[in-house]
Amino acid sequence: MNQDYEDPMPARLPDQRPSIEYFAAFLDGELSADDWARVQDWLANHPEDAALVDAHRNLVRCWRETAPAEPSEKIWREMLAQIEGRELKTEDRGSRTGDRNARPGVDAPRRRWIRVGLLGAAAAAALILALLIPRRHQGPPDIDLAELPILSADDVELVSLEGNDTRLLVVGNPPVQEPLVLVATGDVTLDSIEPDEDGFVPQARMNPGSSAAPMIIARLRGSETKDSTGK
Amino acid sequence: MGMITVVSPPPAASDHELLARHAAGDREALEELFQRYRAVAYRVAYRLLGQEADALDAVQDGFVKALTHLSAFQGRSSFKTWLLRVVSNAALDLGRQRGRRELRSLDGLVAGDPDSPLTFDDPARRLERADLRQFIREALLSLSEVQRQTFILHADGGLSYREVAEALRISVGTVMSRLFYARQKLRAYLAQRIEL
Repeated sequence: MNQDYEDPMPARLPDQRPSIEYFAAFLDGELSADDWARVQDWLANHPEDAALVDAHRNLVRCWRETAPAEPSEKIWREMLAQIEGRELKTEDRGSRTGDRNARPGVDAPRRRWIRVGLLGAAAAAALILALLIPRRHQGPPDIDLAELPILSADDVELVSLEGNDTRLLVVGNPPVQEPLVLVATGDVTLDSIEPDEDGFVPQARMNPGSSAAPMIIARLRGSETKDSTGK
Repeated sequence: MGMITVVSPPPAASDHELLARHAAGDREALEELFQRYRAVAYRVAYRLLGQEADALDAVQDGFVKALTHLSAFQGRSSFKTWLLRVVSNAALDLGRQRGRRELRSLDGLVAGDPDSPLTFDDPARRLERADLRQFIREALLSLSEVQRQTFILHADGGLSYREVAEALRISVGTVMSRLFYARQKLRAYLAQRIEL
């Protein structure tokens, strides 16, 4: 890899097969001169891997050949006018409300998405907790705090659902693509939650740690939850 | 013998200069930025959505969001990287909202469809390209969302590995891995339908 990149793979001996990800980087010209020469040598002596790189090269060629053509200049002009109009509208709304914390571009649909996301996250937390906490559990819960994968509707196919479980089903496509971290009350102090700069994933700031990962903070049965202001 | 005077064109303004001029209310600066990046933003959005009208919506949303949230990006990456991050997220968001409509849009990729922007003079070649584009669209849907976004930012957005890593806030190693396996999946899908 280029020198300013972290190298995800350990150094290899000359007779060892390069990591397969290097073949893509070789094709894309993203390797350092040394790594490029090492992969080139390997391919010269290993036709099966050379065939793999050739197949990827053909795929890149196909890709370029099917690039979409640009819309007409008329469409672009109309779009530019609409962009200017929307920008002015956003600025005007911010100045009319006099809200010093108002951020341009944080419009209603975006707030709606954030609300939907947070509601979805809360519902997911409730579902997970309902499944993890024994019904007659006494004292502090013994929960394995693991990352929760977030799936979209395209990722799963529902095969069957028992009647009693229908009230537990979380549906929808939350605007969160990365794993969530489930924490219990008292594990963190939440300082603030702000919309992300491009409006898709809320940024949670918390102690300890500086992670900005979206989190679910669940209220456990019998416990009290306090925010950072003590309310 | 006459004297020839060579006048060099003025150097193009940097993105940073254009953004500063735009912030000061210079309309031409926005127009220049728009002209500079509209095509690449459209290519990325089109590949993610497979439909011209949806792609245009995503580009428009992306430009507005990218420009109105400049304070959050400055100093972290180039404007192009920032814009393509926002446009690709807007496209994915739009795709989720419209759900399965993207599958129906495959019907719009057949040759002769007025919404399909590819044009070829030779009818046989046009049909061949239309088929290829349809296969590519189907192959893209076989990728996970993060693989698709990573691959398209690189292949259609023209971002380097480092720029893709900055755009998606992941490591370069993760970019490498996603790109390799995305190509493997695309190749496997397409190899059953066309000669690669």
